Amino acid sequence: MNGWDLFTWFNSVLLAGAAVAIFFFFLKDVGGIFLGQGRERDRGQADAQPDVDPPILDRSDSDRS
Amino acid sequence: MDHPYLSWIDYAVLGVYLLGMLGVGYYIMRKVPSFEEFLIAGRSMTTPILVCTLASTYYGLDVLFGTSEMSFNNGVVAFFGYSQLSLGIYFFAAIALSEKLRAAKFRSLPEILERHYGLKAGILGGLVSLFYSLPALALFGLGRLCEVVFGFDARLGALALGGVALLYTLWGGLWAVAITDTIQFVLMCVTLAIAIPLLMANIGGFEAVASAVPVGHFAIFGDMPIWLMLAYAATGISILVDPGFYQRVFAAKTARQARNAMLLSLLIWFAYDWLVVAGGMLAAAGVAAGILPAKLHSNDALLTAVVYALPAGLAGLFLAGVLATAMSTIDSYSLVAGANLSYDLYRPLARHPVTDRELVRMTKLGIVLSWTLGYALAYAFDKLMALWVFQATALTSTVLVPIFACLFWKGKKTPTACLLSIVLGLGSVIAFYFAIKHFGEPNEIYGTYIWSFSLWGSGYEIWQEYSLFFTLPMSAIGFLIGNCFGSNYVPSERGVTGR
Repeated sequence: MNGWDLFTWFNSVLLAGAAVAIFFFFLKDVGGIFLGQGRERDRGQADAQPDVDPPILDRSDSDRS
Repeated sequence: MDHPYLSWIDYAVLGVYLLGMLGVGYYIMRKVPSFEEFLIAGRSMTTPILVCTLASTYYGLDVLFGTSEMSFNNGVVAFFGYSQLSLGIYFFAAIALSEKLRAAKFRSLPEILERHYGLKAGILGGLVSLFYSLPALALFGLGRLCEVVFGFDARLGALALGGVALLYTLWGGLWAVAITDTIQFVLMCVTLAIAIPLLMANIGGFEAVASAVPVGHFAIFGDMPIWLMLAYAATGISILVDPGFYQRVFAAKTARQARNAMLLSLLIWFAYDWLVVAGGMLAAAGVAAGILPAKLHSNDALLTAVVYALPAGLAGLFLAGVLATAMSTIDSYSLVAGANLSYDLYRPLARHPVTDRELVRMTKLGIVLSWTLGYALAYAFDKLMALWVFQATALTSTVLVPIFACLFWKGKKTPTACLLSIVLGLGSVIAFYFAIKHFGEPNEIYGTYIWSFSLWGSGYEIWQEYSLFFTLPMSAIGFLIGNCFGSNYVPSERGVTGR
């Protein structure tokens, strides 16, 4: 087994491990969201205001005309 | 349906996968009553969901087959010289863009242009984004896959499997896309991570590869010209204005979650890229050792080698993962294109206040239209890869400069600057492609056009891949000239759901 083999093994473990871990957290999150628990909690802190204009990202005062 | 390495279990797994995708879309249909839910999932996506949808959307068949083909023919340069350079640009997107975009609470990329430069800029941005998002290449790839693996007619295969992606996107919007992307992401990653070590064991590892391929296959940057390497890296620039990436940032619960998702995705892409490259090189060794067919096409190398290495059932799962890479691209970009039609074109041009329900209906119509156009384009052009490169170059060369001016430039930004930047950028893309096709010669090795000429006694080459080196500066020049005329745009006092 040479360095390239080890690198391949490392990436295989990394990829499979990351995918399984992320999927576990995904299940946790998506369950909360669809059961409405997360949604109600979010409403209190929501920063989204769908019916108003989003702000301009930046505008220097000197250029306002 | 007669493949030498596949059994009925594999086909059954594929059937279950496709039914599962439809089931997810149907279940979510009841959960997305409003436009904001349908398009950006109510801005409630968390890091794990974002990682899955980002990772699976940006890694399509082009990575799976294009990168493995390059490693089959050229070795590790496919990883170090081709894949990894563009990850640096993705890192920049994670650090510099995610917070600014999420904080501004937009719903689409063209809306940024509309709010900063006015209606015309928004409409032009919507048209360019719509053109970019047509899923022609992914639908073509899906059809080709059906033809090679299952022996189906390619057009029929693209229609049937692309139709599954279309249906669940129509039913559930971004939630359906994200949840199916997640399943697809797990399939993609886990099956590849199992297949490559098994393939290594079958072939004899990289020692067998070293004895079967030329020494140059292990040169980090191979013999690739530096400008070509930079040009490949520059293809990653498109993510900086990719409407699908922007949509996911807008859908994030917080800016921090968007940034973390992007950083985690980088890790996934790094590992995935290497395994694809390793698969291509192992396949080359398998051909040399007589384990794989001698006439194996480099484009099919990874697929054939992996299906050979995996046991029954897992091979089916891997093929489901391969279908998933194409389907996750089709669903994401069809949704973006649908929103471009409804939110960025129909809403500002409608002569009446547009209701939420109307927006959802128009988005669904847009999804069907973009899918249909993508399907038609997929079988109208011979050189699909060239069309895809043109789509990406056109988007980057038109909207990158005006969008970045909004995000990073605090000074004056006039509507004329944006319009001139878009027009000059698009004009230069068309002129560049016309010139390279007219004066250049096709190159079979790299699958591109190269224009060779002499100037003052020295020889020069311009490759088709160098387009951004010319077109982006033109867009910037257009912006600077246009910025001399007029003053900053002042938005009117109207809500986003009405005119």
